[in-house]
Amino acid sequence: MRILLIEDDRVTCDYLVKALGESGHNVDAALDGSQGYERARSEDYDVLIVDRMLPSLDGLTLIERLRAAGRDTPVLIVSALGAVDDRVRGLRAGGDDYLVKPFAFAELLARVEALSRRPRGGARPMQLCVADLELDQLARTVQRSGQKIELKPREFQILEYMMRHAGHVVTRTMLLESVWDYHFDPETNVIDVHISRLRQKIDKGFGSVLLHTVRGAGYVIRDPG
Amino acid sequence: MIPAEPRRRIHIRLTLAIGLLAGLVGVGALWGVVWWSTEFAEYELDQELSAEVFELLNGPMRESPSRLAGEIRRRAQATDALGHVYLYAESHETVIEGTWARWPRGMQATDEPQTLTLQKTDQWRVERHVRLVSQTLSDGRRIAVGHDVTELERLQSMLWWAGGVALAVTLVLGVGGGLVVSRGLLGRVEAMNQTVVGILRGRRGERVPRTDVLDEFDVLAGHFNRLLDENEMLIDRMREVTNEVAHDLRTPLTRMRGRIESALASSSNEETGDETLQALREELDQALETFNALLRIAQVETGRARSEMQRIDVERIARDAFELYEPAAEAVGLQLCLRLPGDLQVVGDRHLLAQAVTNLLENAIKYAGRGVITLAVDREGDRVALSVEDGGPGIPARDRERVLQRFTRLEAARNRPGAGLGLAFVLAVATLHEAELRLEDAEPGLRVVLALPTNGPAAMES
Repeated sequence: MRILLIEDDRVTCDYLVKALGESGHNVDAALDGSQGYERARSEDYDVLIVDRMLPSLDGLTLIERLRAAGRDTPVLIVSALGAVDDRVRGLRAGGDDYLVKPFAFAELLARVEALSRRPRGGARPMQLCVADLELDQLARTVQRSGQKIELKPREFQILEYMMRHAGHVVTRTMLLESVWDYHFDPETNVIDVHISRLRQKIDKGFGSVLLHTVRGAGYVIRDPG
Repeated sequence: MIPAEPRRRIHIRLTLAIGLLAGLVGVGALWGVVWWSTEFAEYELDQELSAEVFELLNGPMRESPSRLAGEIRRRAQATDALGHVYLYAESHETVIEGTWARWPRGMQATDEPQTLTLQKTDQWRVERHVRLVSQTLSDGRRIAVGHDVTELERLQSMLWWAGGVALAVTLVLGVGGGLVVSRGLLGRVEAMNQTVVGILRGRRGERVPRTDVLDEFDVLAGHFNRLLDENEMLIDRMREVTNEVAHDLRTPLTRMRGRIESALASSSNEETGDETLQALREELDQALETFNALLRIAQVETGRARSEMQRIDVERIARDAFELYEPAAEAVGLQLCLRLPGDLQVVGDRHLLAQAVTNLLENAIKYAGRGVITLAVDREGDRVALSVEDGGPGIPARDRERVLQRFTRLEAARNRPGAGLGLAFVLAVATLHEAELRLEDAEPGLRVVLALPTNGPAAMES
């Protein structure tokens, strides 16, 4: 995946370029706003990572100009400003996701990968499949190997989100944001318990394990085949 | 609580009071004018009539009674009958010469000026009034000279009427005009009021409107706006400082975290990893959590969340939090219960209230030990109470004030994780919403109640 990182702190920038590179991505970096804007406008990237406070051109203005110029490349905003209204302003300016500094690298990686997979424009599929696990969004049913599985509404929402991002790591924070619309991290790890309940229902008694925990990062649902 | 609109209107009271006073003075003045002018006209007439009597008695009379009679006849016949009356009489019955054949009935024996009322006759279709001055002569005869004052009295009543109408019109115009003018003036006070309400509702850029006239209100508005500018500048400055601190701290912390992660990634086996590095990362995350919690409290306290306030479903907030924590509570042997009466809404910030509720639930799960935790929404008069009740050891009454302060951790909590900021955050959210935060004894256990005003903070009322 081709990523453009626009970040003015050289140390953070170097580290992220290195870490994203090690995760198999092709990363370009820009150290100020106007330089970043030029590259984002003239070249094709899968995802942009934009720091909010940048010299020469502020991050939000950069995104607004990019959108005005007709560029719809997904943007992850990273910022030291973490209040709810900062977040709202960031998304309103045209950002697709918002991550508050400092962040765990796993969190950044999961979000970047989730963004690159976001379907642009087109309708989202109503039926999701991972191996023999099937989820029907309209009927709100889940089956595995043709066997019906009863899920609580929240478990259904968690599973749906994870199947939409099948093969990619989904973090606890991403689940809290998408399923609960919570933009803060509770002190205790409440999501883990939901995941283990879900695992009980979709994996227990079936041949293969689909739902995995990725240590220090989050969870992933993937086809073992 | 200060209502957004005044309960009583000062301009109506003032205008009515001034109107009443003006009315009383006007009625008094009118009465005085009419009375004095009538009195004066009567006095003048009496003087004139007395002079004519004097002239008659000291002219022809001096020579002979017959010449007096002749003069009276001449005058009675010459004068317009409508106006003047002349009488020369022997007694009550016998009139020697004059306008009338008989001495008028009702005429007093006295020689003081008097007013006679004449009944309607064929000649006179209306009741008439005549002012008479009489003189009893030395021979017992009397002469009288009079003048018809009916017109004068009509004039007097017209004066009353016209004066009354003028007064009424003046009062109506005065009170009406007073109301309009004072409403105009109060409208400007009202404009200031609306500006303040707007600012309290989060529209911080609002200012009091001013005209170029530079009257007292404009000067007041000017000072007021300057005060608002300074206030806004201070808030902006505070926000800037908070942002700068956040930024200046987060940048090195981001680097630090990145370096630790790089080091961990490059160590041969991540599963066992470098224990020191992992511990370092954990402690860094904890310090960050404390830092973020402090920052959030500061942000709530500076009121920057007010703009997010809207009508929200409290029960949904409770249900969401319940659904998030129910499995976690069960995992540690606690039963989490939810009690909702159905359809309760308040004006507030959804995100902040959700976080406050999760803080309360985290505390309950952390300290309750075992038993039942109840998350409830109840109607409480004009408030909606969000409450979390546990069956744990509770908080002694003497410590309840203290636990709301930052970094307070009671003895029982010393060996558990946390920084003592959870309740401080809840208090900040409560204050922002003008809600009541109560820590009660649930016998046994602790009940924390967040009683939210249904319509949000008072300044939000419309």
